Amino acid sequence: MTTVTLRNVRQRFGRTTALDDVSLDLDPGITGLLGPNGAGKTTLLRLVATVLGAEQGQLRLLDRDPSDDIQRTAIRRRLGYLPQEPGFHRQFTAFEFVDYVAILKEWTQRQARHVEVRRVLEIVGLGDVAGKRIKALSGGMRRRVALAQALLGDPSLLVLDEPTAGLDPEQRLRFRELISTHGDPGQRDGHPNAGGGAINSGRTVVLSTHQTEDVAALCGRVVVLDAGRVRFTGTPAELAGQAVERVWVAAERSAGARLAWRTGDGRHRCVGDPPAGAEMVAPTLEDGYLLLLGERALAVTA
Amino acid sequence: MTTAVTLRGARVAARGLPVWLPLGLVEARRLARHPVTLLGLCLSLYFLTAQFWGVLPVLQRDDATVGASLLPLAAGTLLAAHISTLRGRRHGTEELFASTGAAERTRTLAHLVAAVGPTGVAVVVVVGWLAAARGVGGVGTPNLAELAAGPVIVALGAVIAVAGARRLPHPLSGPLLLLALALGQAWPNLFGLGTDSAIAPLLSPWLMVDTPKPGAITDLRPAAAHLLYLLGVVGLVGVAALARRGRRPQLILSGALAVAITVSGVAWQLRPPPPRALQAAYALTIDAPSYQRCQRDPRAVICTYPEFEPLVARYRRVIDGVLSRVPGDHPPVRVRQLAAPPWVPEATDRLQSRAATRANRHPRHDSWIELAPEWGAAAGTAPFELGLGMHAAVTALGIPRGGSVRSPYETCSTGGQARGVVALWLTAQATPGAATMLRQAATAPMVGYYQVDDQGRELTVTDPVVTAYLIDEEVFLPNLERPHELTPAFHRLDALYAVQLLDRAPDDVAAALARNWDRWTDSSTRSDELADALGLVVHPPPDEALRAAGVAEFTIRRVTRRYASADDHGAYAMFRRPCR
Repeated sequence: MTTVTLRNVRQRFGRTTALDDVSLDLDPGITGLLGPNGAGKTTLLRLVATVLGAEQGQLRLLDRDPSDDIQRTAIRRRLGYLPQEPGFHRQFTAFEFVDYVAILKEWTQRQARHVEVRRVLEIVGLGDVAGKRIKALSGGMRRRVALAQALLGDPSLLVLDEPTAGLDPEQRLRFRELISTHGDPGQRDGHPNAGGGAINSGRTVVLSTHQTEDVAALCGRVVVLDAGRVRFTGTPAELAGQAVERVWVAAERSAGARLAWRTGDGRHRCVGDPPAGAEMVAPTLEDGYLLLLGERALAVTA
Repeated sequence: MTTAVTLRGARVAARGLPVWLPLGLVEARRLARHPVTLLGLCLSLYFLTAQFWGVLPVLQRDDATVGASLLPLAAGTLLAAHISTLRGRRHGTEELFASTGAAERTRTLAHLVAAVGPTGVAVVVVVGWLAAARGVGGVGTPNLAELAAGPVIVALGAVIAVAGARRLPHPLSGPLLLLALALGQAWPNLFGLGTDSAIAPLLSPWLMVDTPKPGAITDLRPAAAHLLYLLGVVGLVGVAALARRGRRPQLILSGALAVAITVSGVAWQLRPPPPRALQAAYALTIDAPSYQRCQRDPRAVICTYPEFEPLVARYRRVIDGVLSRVPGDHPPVRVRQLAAPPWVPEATDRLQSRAATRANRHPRHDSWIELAPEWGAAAGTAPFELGLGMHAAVTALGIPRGGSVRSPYETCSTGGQARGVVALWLTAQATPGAATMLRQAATAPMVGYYQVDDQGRELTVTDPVVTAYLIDEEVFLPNLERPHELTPAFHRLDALYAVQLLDRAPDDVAAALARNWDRWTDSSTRSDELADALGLVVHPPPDEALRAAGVAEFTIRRVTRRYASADDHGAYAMFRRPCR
């Protein structure tokens, strides 16, 4: 069942076209959004998070129309959103902040709400510092507070804009564990007003990131955006497959290499048009992405 | 962030309460403990305490000032609520919050509901004040509408802040709103409109203007109308905060209701007090005996308004202290409370003059001591005790009175009379506080009183005897506030004799006075004679005292000439006739 559908969506900000005739179908599971800066990832996520209305085109989320006030509210009840730059009320404690968002998400019964807030804080590993003011937390901890609020009620649709920015490697691994579980099909929607625990036959997670390893490790589906257009949709393996026979190692940078870098063993890993007799290696998702976007991808990977 | 199992944790359905309610309560708690709110609270508590320090509360009069004392809390609430409402914008959480089910209007409503936090604090302050006022012996019955106005003003501060923040989402809009409101309150005075301007109540968002000042007994303020007006404005501003987008029938209906309430409140406030209420208020003043109950014993008859009977014990303590040192039988001292006439706008002058005419037909009986229905508290008690004690002593000694604040020079002077010394000593027997106050007033040097010597050099005179001669100094004209009744004037030189008597055992002094009571209380007996007979240090003659102090000879000649040319006692009173 498709949970996110975009048809010919166009979004402009002044003279800048952020999204240009984008059409997408996202199913339950985890979808990664890749693209260079300014590709339109955040705009796409804001549309899916219903904080932005589509200027042109059609959008359906969780089988509802977000342009309708009542349906939009119904969508929001089953939505978790981590903005790219989530603000914090710094005088609040971590618990108070997540509790505040929980109220906004209609967790109006105090006892049940507090149980839920403690639950999500435990999930993101902040149970011990729940009583600390946010201004006293590190950047990574704040990021986890933001993630915790997004997880309130086990939302059917989880929209994460660069969720791993600022997290250390261990936290990133834990994040992967958490999200992979959340994106597991068959989970029950936990919002108090979602309609008696509606079955969604699995949750949909949409995340944008510059970390291709996260996408490779987590996502069953990848969407690559560039200049407001969808350049690729498919599995991570299919994106990596774009670079089959296009990645090789050599002692020096080869002439046909569009990108090359020295690896730990002193040899160069090259991506591009291999010379004859080159020592080919198995491509990664990152290789496919780099080849797909060419020089524009340098903005991300350089 | 370790377990996936917890993700499957049970979530309990939580339907029922609308979001604005729990959200509003969270905001209410935060608003009530916001540092700016707490600062306003501290200032309010200070003003509330300072305002009533040293005065026994009269609840039906002082209730009107409680609202004014809560203005700092209202101002603090306004600023704090403005900061809270703009918090999301300031911290960049608007986008996150926009993705939740709660619409902006819901969040605005929650901020409006948050007003219950500081308003609740204000209610606690008012209830606490009421309990404290009762606890220290306050009298009278407060007007609940007056008391409720204070907390409603605090709520209004919060509601105005939310509307301002939604309409003008800028950090400075809160302080500017507060400034505008302060100017609105001060407008009538600042721009010479006067408090009798018809528009003044409309421009004054907080306090009533152009209203009769409440008296201890009479209260003609339209407190209920003002409360209605404040509630209407709260509703109106609240609707304005919510009506930012779209038109909803509920909001339109609420707005219309709020307008109706506000207009009704204003119209009701602008009406002058009904003639019947005015006449009733004046009757309490003019025909006080008809409304009072009297308590009698051999020494005193004390008549009070019913609600002010608790003050009788305080009056009696003072009177007993004085009369216990008066030998033999004497008629009882008669004390009556008398309320001040209500202060009313010019429109009611006609009624006032009619009342004055009636009052003139029933002149005040000189044998009654008339007291305002109020009293001091703690350190503020002594002046009241001194005043009543002095009136009781004067009455017991048969010294005439007759002056008032409006015509102070109609009072006579006991300067140079032995009975003046006796009256002051008796006054000091009222209570220890009265004795201390009299002693301090008699011996306090005139700081900064300058004279020149014969070489033209400046010298500072501090000796009370010298200054008493130099300026023919009178002391102690305590009035009882209302109805502005004065005792006779006493001279500082006689007060200094009384202080010498206070240094002796009271029983010895009482016995010495009793032996020649008729002589010492006769108007023809000089105070010097009393001092000499009782072995006090007699004041040196003026030329001797001034010369010893180094005062210039031409000044000495002037003072001596004045004393030499005066009749037997008049030298002590430059401006007053001697009491006979």
